[in-house]
Amino acid sequence: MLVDFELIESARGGNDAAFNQIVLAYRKRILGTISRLIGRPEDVEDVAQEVFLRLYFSLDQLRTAEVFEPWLYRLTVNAAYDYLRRQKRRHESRMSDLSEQQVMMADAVAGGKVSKEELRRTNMKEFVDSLLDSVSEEDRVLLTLKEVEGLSLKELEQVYQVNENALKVRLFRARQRVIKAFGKFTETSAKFRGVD
Amino acid sequence: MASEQRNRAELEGLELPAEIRAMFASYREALPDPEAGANFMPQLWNRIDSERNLTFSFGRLAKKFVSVSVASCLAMSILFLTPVHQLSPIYGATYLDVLAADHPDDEPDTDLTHSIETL
Repeated sequence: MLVDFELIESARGGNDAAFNQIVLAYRKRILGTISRLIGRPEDVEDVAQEVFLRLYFSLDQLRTAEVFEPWLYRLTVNAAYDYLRRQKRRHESRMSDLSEQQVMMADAVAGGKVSKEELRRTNMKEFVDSLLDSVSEEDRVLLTLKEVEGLSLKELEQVYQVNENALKVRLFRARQRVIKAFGKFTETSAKFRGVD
Repeated sequence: MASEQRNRAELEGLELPAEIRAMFASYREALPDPEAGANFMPQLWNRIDSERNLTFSFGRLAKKFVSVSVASCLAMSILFLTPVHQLSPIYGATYLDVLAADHPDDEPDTDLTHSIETL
């Protein structure tokens, strides 16, 4: 826990200063999680603000201060889902829609201002983003939380509020689908490179 | 029982290939937790305030609506429950009475009455 229980209780009681302190303590972690969940740096702050806005108006529904972190993660996951669904509706495929960072990187590459390592990292990031885009929002979020964020099954159970077996089934299916998508991706890139 | 155990082992056994796991790990490293911008907190409080105002306005509107509804119900109840003391003579009379009152000079057609009786 990044804050103590008294601070959470105080915020639950309507203390805005206490709430402000909670946001200051958690915002970096939440911004990081959101950036990896949605893969769009330019919208991360907006989604994070949405998370804290929802937190502010739902703090009174929190049963105890002990479950604060899973609760915050749950709000983060829901805000990320909403964002990803909106994005999917807006552009059915993100492949043709370059993010600001991609445009900047393309300019930097063109101007020779970027190192090989940076380029490799950007390509890898783009590849993982595309891979995660090819599965459903639910799979994307679950896989990111488990494989990228490194949440344990116990933590995921609290976030998703499901039992261990149900979670394992979801994870199993999500892994199956991402492995399948990975196979397709590598097959396509091999075709582009002219490799059999 | 055996198939259940096999299913369970299968569920727990499916790990991502090392290549994908390594990519996810690099992805985590490539995207460290970013710092919030200078406007993060002011913008957040603006959003909270506007939401609070919206909720407050909606609450006030709902209260006003309830007050107006209660007042209308009371007014209607009073109107319907109050006994009507002075009924208009028109509503108390029959159709013929009203006709007679409208044409006081008219007399019954005695000739016609007589001719009908003789038939």
